[in-house]
Amino acid sequence: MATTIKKTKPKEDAKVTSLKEIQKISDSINELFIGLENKDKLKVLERLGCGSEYYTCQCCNKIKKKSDFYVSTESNNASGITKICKACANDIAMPIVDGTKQQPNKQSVDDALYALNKPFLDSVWEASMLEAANQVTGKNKNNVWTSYIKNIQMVNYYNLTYRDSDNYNGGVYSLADMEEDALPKDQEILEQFEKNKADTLRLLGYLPFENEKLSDQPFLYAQLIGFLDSSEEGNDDMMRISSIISIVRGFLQVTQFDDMIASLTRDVVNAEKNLASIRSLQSMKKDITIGITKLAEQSCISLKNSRNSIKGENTWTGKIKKIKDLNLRDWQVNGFDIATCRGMQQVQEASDASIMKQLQLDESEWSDMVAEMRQVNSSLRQERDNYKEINRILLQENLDLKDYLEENNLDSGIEYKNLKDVYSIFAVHEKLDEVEDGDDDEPTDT
Amino acid sequence: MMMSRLIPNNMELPYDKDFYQDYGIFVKPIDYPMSSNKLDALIEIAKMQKFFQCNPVKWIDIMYNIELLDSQALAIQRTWFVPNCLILATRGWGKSTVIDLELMAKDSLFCNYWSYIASGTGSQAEQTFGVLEKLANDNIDTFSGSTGKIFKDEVVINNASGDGFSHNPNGFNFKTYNGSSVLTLNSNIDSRRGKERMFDFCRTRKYFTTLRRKEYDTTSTRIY
Repeated sequence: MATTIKKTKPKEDAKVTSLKEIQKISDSINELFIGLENKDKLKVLERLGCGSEYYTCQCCNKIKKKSDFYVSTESNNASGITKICKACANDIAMPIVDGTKQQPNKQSVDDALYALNKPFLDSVWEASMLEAANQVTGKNKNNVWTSYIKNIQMVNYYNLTYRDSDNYNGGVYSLADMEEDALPKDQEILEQFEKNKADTLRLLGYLPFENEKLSDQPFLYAQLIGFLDSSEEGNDDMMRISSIISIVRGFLQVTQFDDMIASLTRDVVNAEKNLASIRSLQSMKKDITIGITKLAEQSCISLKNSRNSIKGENTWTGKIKKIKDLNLRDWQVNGFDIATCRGMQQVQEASDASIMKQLQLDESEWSDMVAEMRQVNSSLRQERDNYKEINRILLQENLDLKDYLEENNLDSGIEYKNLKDVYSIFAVHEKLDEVEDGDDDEPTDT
Repeated sequence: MMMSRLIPNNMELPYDKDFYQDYGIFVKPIDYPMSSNKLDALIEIAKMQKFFQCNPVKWIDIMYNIELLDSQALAIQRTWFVPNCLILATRGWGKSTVIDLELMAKDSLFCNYWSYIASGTGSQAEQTFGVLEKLANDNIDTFSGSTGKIFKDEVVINNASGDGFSHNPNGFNFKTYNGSSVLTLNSNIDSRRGKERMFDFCRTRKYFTTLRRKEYDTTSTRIY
């Protein structure tokens, strides 16, 4: 049976002070309270101020006044206070070790903020450090923790939770950033990165971006190689090389600023607050871009300022001229070898045929010719056999040398090419024609 | 006797084609002052160049998007590598076009290739040159969708106002970035004898016979 609780006016004059009386009242209330049903108990507690004036700390599990808790501005927190009390938060931020209270440090403050679900912001941390150290103002705060917790409750940081911390969301000391600082997992990017790095080492003799973040290195080396490739002749100029390295770094910074601006502009809720940051980022970006442009101009790096670039070097004919100048092995064609040049072969055949047509031979000349040809033929055959044998011995020697290199592990890094790639392309066509002709002939013979 | 001395009995190596196909050839690596990516790109271009040097009709088809008649394709393929050649063709077969396309292909695919267009009169040679210009500017209606601009981009432009095709009274000419050039010759070809020619085009039989008589003894390629 529900018992109704009558509202009684608290008597101001009848203030109970003695411990005995308090104990007495407490016991009688307890007796009455035990006799109530659960829902009535809750009503009583509510009326007595539980959940509005008095709260339980989840850390020490003690009932405390509302003022013993920090204010929480989380959107889904109706109580408006933090889960743990101020004293517990202090204990976390300034733990007691061997009976002495420790000074707060970054890690302990971070732990306390995690328990309070308040953000850890690098900018506020640095400001609090200065504030704690500043004795001039007269408002001596005990330490960085007390300064920090005061500052972080200001209006600027309303609605921010621990999830908005720099070490959670990206910042100077970002944990997430540290995790991200690894090479991309894409195999193709990795291969290109290794290639570019090796090329940089070959061309410059050192690796200029070794101290940069790993995740940025593929971008940096790719850009550097692009600049180095733009003018092979200009790469002897060390001033130019140094400028290129600075420019590449500058472009990385510009990209980072762009990312930061993009993330700030995405935040529509705090757009107004972010305006100043966006503006300052844009001005810094502008400064870097001006620096890059000046460097490029002074060291003749960009296409516009380049003095080494040759007109038309990026056209097809410009490229083949370059290949010719480089004398690339893959470009070379043995155009004057009868066996490999169809044009020359045809000339030779035509020439032989016309000689034979023009000669009017009688029998004696024929016999002389045959005799001479036989002589020449036999000597040539002998010569051919000798060369064939010498060729075989040289081939054997080559194979032995290859085996020797392999056995002694001297062949690392040696890349062998396919014969087809080295052999003249004309001869390949010639052989293909022969095969085709042969195929055509077969059915007619049968 | 020598044979028996050279051949040891226990060595028998096959002179087999397949054996040589599998036989890796060692080519000494050369350190070029550029990145391997750029070098790879140049090697690919070199391979393309070699392929198109053997297949000029493909070059014309792929690069200039011009599909030739069978007889025209045959003419180009057969005249590509021979020293002398005579083509008898009717009116409207496309003599100028074939000559010009072959010139364009030659200039694009070979470095330092000098070509001369010789005709009965200077104006006729210039007319052939004009067709080449039209091809480069994609101004021939029958070749709809042609991409002669690809060739035009290869022509060296000396002064900012021009397009690279010079109409000099001494002979129309142009140059490409690989050192190749084309020049039209005026009627008095004999006065030009001192010039070493790699590739001459003569438009009429009269000049074909004239040139034969005058014994041009260079090893260059000519089409009459």
